[in-house]
Amino acid sequence: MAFAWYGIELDLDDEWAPVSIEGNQKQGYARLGSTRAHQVQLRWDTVAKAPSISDSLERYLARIGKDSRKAAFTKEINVASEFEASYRYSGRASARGSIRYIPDRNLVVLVECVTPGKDSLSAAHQKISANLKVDCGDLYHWQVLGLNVYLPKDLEVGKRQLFAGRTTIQFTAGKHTLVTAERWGLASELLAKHDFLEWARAALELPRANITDEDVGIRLVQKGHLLTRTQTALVGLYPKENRIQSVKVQSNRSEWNPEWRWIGFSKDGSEIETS
Amino acid sequence: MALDRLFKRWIGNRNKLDPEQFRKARPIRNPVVEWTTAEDGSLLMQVPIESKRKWLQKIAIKAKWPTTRQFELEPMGAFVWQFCDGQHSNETIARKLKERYKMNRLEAEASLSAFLQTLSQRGLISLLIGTKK
Repeated sequence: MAFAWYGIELDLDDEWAPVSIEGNQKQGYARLGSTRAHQVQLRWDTVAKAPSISDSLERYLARIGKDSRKAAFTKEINVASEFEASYRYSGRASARGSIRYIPDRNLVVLVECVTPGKDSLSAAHQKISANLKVDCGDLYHWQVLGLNVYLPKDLEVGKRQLFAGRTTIQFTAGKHTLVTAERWGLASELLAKHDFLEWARAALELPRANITDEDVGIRLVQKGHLLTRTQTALVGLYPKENRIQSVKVQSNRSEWNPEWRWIGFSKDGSEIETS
Repeated sequence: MALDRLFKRWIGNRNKLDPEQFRKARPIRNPVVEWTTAEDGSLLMQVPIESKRKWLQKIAIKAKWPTTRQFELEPMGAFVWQFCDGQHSNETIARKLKERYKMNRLEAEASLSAFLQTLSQRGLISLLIGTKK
């Protein structure tokens, strides 16, 4: 299952699933677990200026060494370039990882594969590290538990519900804008019982919305009043993946108008290829 | 307190399966369950109501209480039910569910686990643990 958070993308097999996600755009941590008790840890941290990668890594490994207490701790660092290094350590757990500085976002990203045993991690780490991507454009990629959207970079994660069958992430952009990205599984089963338009109106809680069919999907607009914000939503159906995806924007600012590329459709209506 | 802890250790943990055991467990249908498949793919199941207390059975017959309980499974449940034959492990069924309904692994495993738990609570299936013979 590929994973993308704040535009940092990991290309992972289906055996991986998120266990813990913390932090914000500036700094954060995500842990993904596999069926074989292996873990992938992703850390990101925004820095003011280009750091010394080897110093950062030394500090990080010193902290891990301190935590491993009585277990014998060994480490090895390979600095590949000014902005990239790989490492391995063995203590209470064994790990292989890499650290990278992304100048366009002033971001330091660390990806680490950990195993509690002595299993070889080199192949897994190599694959994950080689396919690590960091978005630096105007949209950041978000992909978790089947939800797969590209949203403007200024958003911060608010509430989230990562359930099987329904994944919801709510984002905020300042005090006045709320963006909700949602994904429903079992689309064909849902739509066998309900009409798509009526279902969308009910699922997105927009009972008074005007609906427009735009070939790619449907657009729902519910105008705000004095005390309520205008709500605009795009809903797309993905028969190949048997899912429905939506992005709802609640804002009174005209610049916050959802675009089809946010939910993975290009301008001509075709799906954007993702990992 | 000590007794309570002992009780929890002996009884409380006895029925718990770790995720690995659960993945390898094989659900098997209760042989008394009878079922028919409808055109839309759903399943209608009938389970005889049996009471261990004979006096209660007599009352049930005299009062003409229903002798069977009925359950209905939606097509997705029916799809899982066909693999509850003691031959397919939960892991295999989850994989089939994933392929058939295009779910992700976690989704398939979570739905299957919840569904099998419900079937088990209603006495419709049991889980076989251990190697296949």
